[in-house]
Amino acid sequence: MSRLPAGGLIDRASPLPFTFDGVRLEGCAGDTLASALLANGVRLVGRSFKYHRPRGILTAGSDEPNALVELRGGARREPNTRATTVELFAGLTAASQNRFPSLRYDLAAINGLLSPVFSAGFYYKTFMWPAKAWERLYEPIIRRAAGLGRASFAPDPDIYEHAHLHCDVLVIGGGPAGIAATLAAARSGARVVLCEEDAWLGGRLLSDQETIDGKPAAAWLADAQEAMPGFPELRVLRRTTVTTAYDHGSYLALERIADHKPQPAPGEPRQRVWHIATRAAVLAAGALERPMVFPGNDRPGVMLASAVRSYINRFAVRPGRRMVLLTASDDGWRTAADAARAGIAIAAVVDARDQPASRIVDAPVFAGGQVAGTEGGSSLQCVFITDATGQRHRIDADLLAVAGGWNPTLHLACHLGARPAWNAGLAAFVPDVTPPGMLVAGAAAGRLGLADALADGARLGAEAARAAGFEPRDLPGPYVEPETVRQSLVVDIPHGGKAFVDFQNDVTAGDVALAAREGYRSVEHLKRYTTLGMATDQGKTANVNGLAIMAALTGASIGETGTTVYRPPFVPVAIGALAGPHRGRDFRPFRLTPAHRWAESVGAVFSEVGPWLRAQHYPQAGETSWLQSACREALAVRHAVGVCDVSTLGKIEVFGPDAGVLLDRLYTNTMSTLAVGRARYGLMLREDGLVMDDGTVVRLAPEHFVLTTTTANAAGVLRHMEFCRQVLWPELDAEVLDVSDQWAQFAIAGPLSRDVVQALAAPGQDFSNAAFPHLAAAPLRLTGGQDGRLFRVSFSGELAYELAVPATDAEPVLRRVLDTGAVPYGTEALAMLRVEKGHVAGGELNGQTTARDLGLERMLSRRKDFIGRVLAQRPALLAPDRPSLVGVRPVDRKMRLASGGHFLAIGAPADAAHDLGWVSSAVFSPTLGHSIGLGFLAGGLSRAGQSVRAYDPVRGADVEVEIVHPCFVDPQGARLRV
Amino acid sequence: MSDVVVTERRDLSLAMILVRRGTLAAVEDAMRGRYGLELPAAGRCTTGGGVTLLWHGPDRFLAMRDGGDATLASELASAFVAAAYVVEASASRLVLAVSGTGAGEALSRHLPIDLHPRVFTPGSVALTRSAHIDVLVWREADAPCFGLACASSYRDSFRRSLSLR
Repeated sequence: MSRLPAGGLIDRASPLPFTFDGVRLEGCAGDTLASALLANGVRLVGRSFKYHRPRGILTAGSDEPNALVELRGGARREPNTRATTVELFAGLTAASQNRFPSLRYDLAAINGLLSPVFSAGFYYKTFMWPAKAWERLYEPIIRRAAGLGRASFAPDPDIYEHAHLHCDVLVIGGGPAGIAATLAAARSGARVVLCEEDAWLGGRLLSDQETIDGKPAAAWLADAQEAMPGFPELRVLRRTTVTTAYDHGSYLALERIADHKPQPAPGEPRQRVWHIATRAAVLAAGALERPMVFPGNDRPGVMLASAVRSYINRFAVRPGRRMVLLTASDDGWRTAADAARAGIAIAAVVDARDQPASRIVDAPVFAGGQVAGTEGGSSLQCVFITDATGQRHRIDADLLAVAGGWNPTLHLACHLGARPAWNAGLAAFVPDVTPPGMLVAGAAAGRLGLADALADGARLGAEAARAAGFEPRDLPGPYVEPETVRQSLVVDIPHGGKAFVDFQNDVTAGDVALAAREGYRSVEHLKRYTTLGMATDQGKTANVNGLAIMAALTGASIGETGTTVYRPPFVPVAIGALAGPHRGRDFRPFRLTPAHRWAESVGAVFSEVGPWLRAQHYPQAGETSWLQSACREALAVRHAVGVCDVSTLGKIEVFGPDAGVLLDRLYTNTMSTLAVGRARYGLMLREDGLVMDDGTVVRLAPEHFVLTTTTANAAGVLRHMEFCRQVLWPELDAEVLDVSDQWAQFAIAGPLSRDVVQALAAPGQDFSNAAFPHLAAAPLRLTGGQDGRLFRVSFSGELAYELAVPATDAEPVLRRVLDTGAVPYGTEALAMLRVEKGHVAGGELNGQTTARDLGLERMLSRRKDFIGRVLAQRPALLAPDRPSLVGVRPVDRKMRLASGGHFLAIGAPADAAHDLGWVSSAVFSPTLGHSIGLGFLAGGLSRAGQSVRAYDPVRGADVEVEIVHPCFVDPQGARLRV
Repeated sequence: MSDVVVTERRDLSLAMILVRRGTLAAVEDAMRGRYGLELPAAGRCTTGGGVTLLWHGPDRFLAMRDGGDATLASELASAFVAAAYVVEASASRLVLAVSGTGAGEALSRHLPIDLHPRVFTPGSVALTRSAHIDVLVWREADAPCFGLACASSYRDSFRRSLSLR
């Protein structure tokens, strides 16, 4: 065990059992998985992506590139989870990944010996031929060998929530700068949200031995947290990472609500995505320490110096017994002091800088030296040091702490357009500009000392509150001893052995050199060619070293070489969290008709039509197929009477003195001449001349129309009408109102439908053919006292009515209709009836067809203007060979047609060059006893009587069909008018 | 947030008022005379004489009254004479009342707008979206309660999104 006997922020009284690769281990409350593994002496945690190199734990935060594990099991198995960010809980199970058969003996580690093959750009060079082998052979093999963890492939059992936060000041990061900013802003009365990725506030104060106002930093931290509940407008979100900054003060943050528990409580979300809107933001995200590049720098036991301090001070773990420190910063030296205090022997200190620090340490110091290599297989055993004179020293050590200097965490500033600018004095990139609405404080701005962090935080927190319209008071900050924060970026081009730049993607210094030799010298090319910085950590530990090596190789400065920038999200985000509650049944909202409950109660089968669930057919006892049910329903309409729920049609009322003018411009035919109490079929074009929608228009009063749209286009037509009214012709005095939800609507169709209507109507209303002819419309009083509207319109070709009643009256009215003997029919029977009549619907109104294509050219008024009139005259839309509407029936009547088949001349090759059109709708006609269809055919009805093939390779059909008029039943329309 | 109570208001008469061009003053007079009620400004609602008027876009108002007899529309139509188009809307909307001290916090899960009492003050109205559904939301002027309304065909879907079954 490597646990220190005292100290740290862990609770030794709360031991937590867990397993790693099936081995039972024990940690403490307050541990991360990484610290618990180290406390148990586990140093080998995973195998690397490409070479299957043994890897340990490099960091103590969300920048971890090595310690990636599969967390949990079953459906909750989560691959590539950073052990450094997983809070330990009782019963946690984790497994190493990317190894076979075991972590210690991984057969694929032979990839390391084959590394000349797997160098940068290897896919592009190696697997060139034969071309067919790529998909079948190379790619599957590479995919099996590479990659990291395995997804569970089971449905995610957890729930995810989205929520919204609005604030005046958003503080990103709860370290000293963030806490100071939070308190300064909160004191002004501003609404403040503080997001901290960790479960604890404090940032580096949790891991370093600092003194504030003459007291340990922990005391200042405790005071600050004690003060926070006193601000009612302050909200502190722990375990919350701000992943993305958008324009205009919009941010996305991910809160891990239950990831620190075995599983969420019932009903508790696992994670919550916060959509945050703020007036001002303070980026206090701190800085990330960078590793250094030398051969064997990925061996378990090589760890960032700051992480060594975290494990010692925060987690009370000794990550090694004998340590070598390699530093390029003054800050790194603190690690030697903390390690010595924790009882770790200091074997040597290497200060790789030209101007090393002179600190007192009880160990050999190699000023200006460098680490030339490491040894020890899967756990560090010794370090080779080259001193300033070039002499080589072998030092036994099981821990190599590396302090390559700090990189400000400027990712979120880059999301808002800031570019990283090289600051030579700081030897790091800082944001080049202050992004709109964002202030950058403390280490994130390159001000690395604690005194600067606290001062920046207090000043910028107040400034942010001021920007949001508050008047903060400036209070003196706490006193902190000033410190030197000198650091360098030391780049030696390593020789001998793999020196890793990007640990997660296994990119070495050699790969960077290869890219330089092959001309991929721009940082953007370097990134794509070597995959440097393209892993899930986005190169947090890799990018600066990679471009520094490129700069050294090409003789350019780092500033000249430049850097790539960062994209959202800052850390990987589960897709489930982004989807939130919108998955499965809730992927999008659904609409139910007012009679849905009734339809459910009689066992209707539903299908999705746009957002609606519509009854497809109503199976009856003894019926064995949907076709059987649908034929029965359709024949009832042809021979008696049926009723269909058409509430899903869009219903729009139009009012005003100019209502008729508006409709004249929207529809191709004239509506202003419609008499009160009459209905008319209408056709709408888009501006480009193609058909948008069709429906009926009814005039209820001189200044009051109601129109219907198809189910699919209801929202689009309403939007179009509002656009026309508000934007194109604001001078028209007309109002448009969607009343789709107010009215339930039922089609009552069939030769006996008049009897049904007469039975429903309160006495004294006459619906005889003379009193209420085809296309009549009138308000209706029902015997039950309800008020409705009755339209004599027909989609089935039979005598038919559409009855509209308030949605709340739908069910009682429908039951009355059914009591008269009307047979309920669904969308399948509806389709049969309308195809038998050659009426166009969704398959024909597909956004590619013109009125002429549909045989509706006579509906294009020549006496008025309307939307789409001009562009409908484009030559290509008038071309004589353009496919137009025809009816088809199989020559062999026993054959079945399907929509989607393509028309080909008999004997013509089945290729696109000979395509004559397509079948847009096909049904079995119960009236005729065989399949029929509608389609678009070049030459259209001029080919009536000819035969063509309906060729459908997708469904494997090839049927000879005869071209006929699209109206199969009652072409004179006599049944409509009885 | 355990004190949040959501109730579906099934006993309402609703009517949509579309003010005719140039007749706003006449509608104002009629509302004052008949109900002692001012027309709400944009983004506001007013309550009086048993009627609540919710702003619903430029020169549009949703009128609401307890009692499911659906007589509000005809009553308003006769009050306005020809100054406004009044459309019966009692069956068109699902209306929910969300009350309790945690109501605003609970609704922040669903609504993208700022519901802070300093911003969305009592009597405020907004047209926004929740779970991809258009909703009208308001904060009652005289009670710690929010109102939510959406198209009635989305009832089940909307209730599901609020974890109401």
